[in-house]
Amino acid sequence: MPRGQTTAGTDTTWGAWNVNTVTLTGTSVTTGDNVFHLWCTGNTVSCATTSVVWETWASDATDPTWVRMGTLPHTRVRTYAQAEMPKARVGEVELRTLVHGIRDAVFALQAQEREERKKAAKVRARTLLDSLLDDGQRHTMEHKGYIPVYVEGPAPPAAPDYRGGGRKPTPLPERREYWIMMNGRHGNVKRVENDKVVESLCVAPGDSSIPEEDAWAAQLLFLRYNEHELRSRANVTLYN
Amino acid sequence: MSTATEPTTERPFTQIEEADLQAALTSGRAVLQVMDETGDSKKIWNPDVPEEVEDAKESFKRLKKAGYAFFHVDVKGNQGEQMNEFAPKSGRYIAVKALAGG
Repeated sequence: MPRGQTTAGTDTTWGAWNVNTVTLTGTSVTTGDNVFHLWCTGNTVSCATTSVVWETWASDATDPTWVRMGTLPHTRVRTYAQAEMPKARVGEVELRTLVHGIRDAVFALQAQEREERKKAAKVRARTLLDSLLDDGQRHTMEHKGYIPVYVEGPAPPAAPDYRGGGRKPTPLPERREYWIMMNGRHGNVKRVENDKVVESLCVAPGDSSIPEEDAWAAQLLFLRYNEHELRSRANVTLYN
Repeated sequence: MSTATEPTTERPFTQIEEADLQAALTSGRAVLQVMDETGDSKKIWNPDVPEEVEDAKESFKRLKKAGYAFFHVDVKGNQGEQMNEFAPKSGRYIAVKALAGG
């Protein structure tokens, strides 16, 4: 509604606003004036002046809340409006430096987040690995850097894929000793006889996104419960 | 988990703390652990509740189709077996992506 304009009290939309329920101590308040009109004319200033609504509110002594609200922001808004924005021109070199700086900061943050996720994943995977080991295996892992695994029972057939430089795989013994070396996930499974590595098996879970500790746990599970499957998928290098 | 992007009505896998995992196992429930880039994601289910068994079976089938192998191990983690078919019993089921030669 235009400032200072009155409307008929029967108007359904604005009717509620037309009821003059406010009594002001100022001058020029006409009975039946609507709220909008009061904003403009109901106090010490009238619409004809340069007064604005906020000033009317601010100068309405009957309501100190509005006085406070009206005064402080009014001053601040004027201050902000009058404040000069920096007008210095940014050169292309400075702009590029700024953009590169922001980009590098974002990359650094992303790298940090990735590193933290990776660390958390390693901790979780290590917990899973630990939960599968007995005390002896855990002790060897912590002190010697490998997990010993003993497999007993009928020996699986020799792996079809082996690299022995002309050497042929020998029959596997009834009790087989493997070491899962905690050094990478490929070629880290060794078969040992009398403390000497006789075979190196290169086999790991197909998902390379898992932490190494998960890969070692998977190798451990396969050696324990399906050595045949592990050996049949491994690339075997002979050392005997 | 890399396979979780497929549309599914299964309950989601979550990161469960080791203490909660042990509490679930000692109370006779079962846990399905899937190795993934977060270490592992887990789903706890009760072998005595048909809806939860059905949900676990659904996960088992989906993961198997995606090339995972399953091992069932006891609470201590020392005794176990590889599983080709789903069996609703307590303990830990560990899903591992199938092995590949390097």
